[in-house]
Amino acid sequence: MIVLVLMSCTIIPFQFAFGIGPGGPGGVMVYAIDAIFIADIGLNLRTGYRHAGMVIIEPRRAARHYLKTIFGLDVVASIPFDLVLWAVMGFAPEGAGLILALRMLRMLRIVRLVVILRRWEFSGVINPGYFRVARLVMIFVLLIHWMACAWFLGPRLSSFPSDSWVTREGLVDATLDTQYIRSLYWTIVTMTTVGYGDITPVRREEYVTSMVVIILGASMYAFLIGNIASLLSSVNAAKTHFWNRMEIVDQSLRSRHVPHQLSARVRDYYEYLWARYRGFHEDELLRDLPVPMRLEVLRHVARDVLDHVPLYGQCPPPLQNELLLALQPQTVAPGSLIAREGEVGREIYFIAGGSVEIRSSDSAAPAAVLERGDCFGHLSLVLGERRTASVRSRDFCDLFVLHHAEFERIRSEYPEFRDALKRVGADRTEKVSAMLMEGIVI
Amino acid sequence: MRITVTEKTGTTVLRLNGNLDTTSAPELDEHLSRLTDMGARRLLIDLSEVDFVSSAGLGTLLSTAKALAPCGGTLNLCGPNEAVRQAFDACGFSRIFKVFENEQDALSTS
Repeated sequence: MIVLVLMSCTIIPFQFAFGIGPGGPGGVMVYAIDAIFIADIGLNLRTGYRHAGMVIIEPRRAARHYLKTIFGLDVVASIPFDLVLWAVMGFAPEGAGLILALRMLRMLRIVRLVVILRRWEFSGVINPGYFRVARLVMIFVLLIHWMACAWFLGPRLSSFPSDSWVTREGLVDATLDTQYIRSLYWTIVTMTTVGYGDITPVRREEYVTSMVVIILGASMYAFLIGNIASLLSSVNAAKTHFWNRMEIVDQSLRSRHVPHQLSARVRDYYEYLWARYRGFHEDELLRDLPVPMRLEVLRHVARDVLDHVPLYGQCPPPLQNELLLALQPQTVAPGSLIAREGEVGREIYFIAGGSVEIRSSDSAAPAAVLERGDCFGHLSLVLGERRTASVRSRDFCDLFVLHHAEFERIRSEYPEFRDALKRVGADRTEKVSAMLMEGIVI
Repeated sequence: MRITVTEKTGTTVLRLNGNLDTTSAPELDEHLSRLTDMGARRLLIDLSEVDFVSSAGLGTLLSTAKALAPCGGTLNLCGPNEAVRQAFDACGFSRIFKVFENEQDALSTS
């Protein structure tokens, strides 16, 4: 439908400006498009519409909505009044102007274009940034075409007087495409403010058209440059936002004379975050959503990561929902100290990616290496003892953290959580036993 | 910590009273070593009078179970309170020990 509207908005002004009658080039196509639009009116009476985020498909409401909104415009824009008049009057020269003017009523279809574009913009099918750029380019191209038509229309309506630009350029008897290309050339040269001066206005209507084109061109130029710059940056808003934030952090570290090596690690961390999550953890971005919807999104986006957290897999769906909201994602850079010897644990860490090593201060070699699917922190938390070893990441680690308060709350509200913990503990008996026997509590 | 040792239907029962922590764990370890050296192979530790088990206590239980395993011995536990049971769960002790509600259950099952 959008192509048909664009064809209407292109062919009809062209025919009107260049005096092409219903029998001329594109005449049949215009009526074929009319037929489709008339059929579409019938279809629209039964087509649902979106209102406040909901799709209304009830036929009576859909019809009432259409009748109240653009039905009238669609009727005026679709019925070929010119054809009716032509049938009544015949294509006499005195009637040609009126017939062509009546054809211009089809330009009202532009309203339909606005409606369709708005629907597309919010459909989420196309990247909104790319969509806005495409829409802007389309408006610009249409305006150039219309102005080229208007530039030729003036002299044609005055029957090409000798001082008109068409006569001076010797285009009165030129072919249609030559006439159009020269009009288009003048419009582009004027609109882009290049202004070679080879075709200039002489007559009053030419001056008026020139002024409109110059004003339109200047404003469109400023509008286009400004918008395309901001639109291109918003095409990938997440990336722009992310790198801006990284830049701020970088500047801040530099101004505080943070050692270069540490700054480099911070940058590496941001790069990993971008590669892994395309920016930030979802829970930061989804805070505004209502809980059921947030859960649905989280369940979908976090499934590949949470699949590697055995506790999550061991839980029934209601408990999984609780965990989804309670588990805090955390990404740590290589070599980061995650848990420190001597602290009392207040949280359990689940490793969803990467690996960590456990090392006590009185031993040179690591006591254990934990990998994806393992967890740590629960012994110190459950026993209430100080950690006897530290935990440091060996590479980039994706962790899920369950804090003490949430752990206690879920455990008291869901008895099945204890069973899940027991099963997870049983799967890890060997590692935990080995550490306990060495006196390691983390 | 007070440790009472009794023999019931071929099982050596150790009733603990107090906290099984860093201080008392070596004492229990000593008792257990002495009993295993004397040939005790079926041990039951009654934890119903124990309020708290620390990592050191867990380590003692583990090392005894490991020492008993090669000669076909068993170390069972009974009567842990909620906090102790939670510590067992966190360590995955369900794989290593049989944990019973009370002494009677443990003796009738074993």
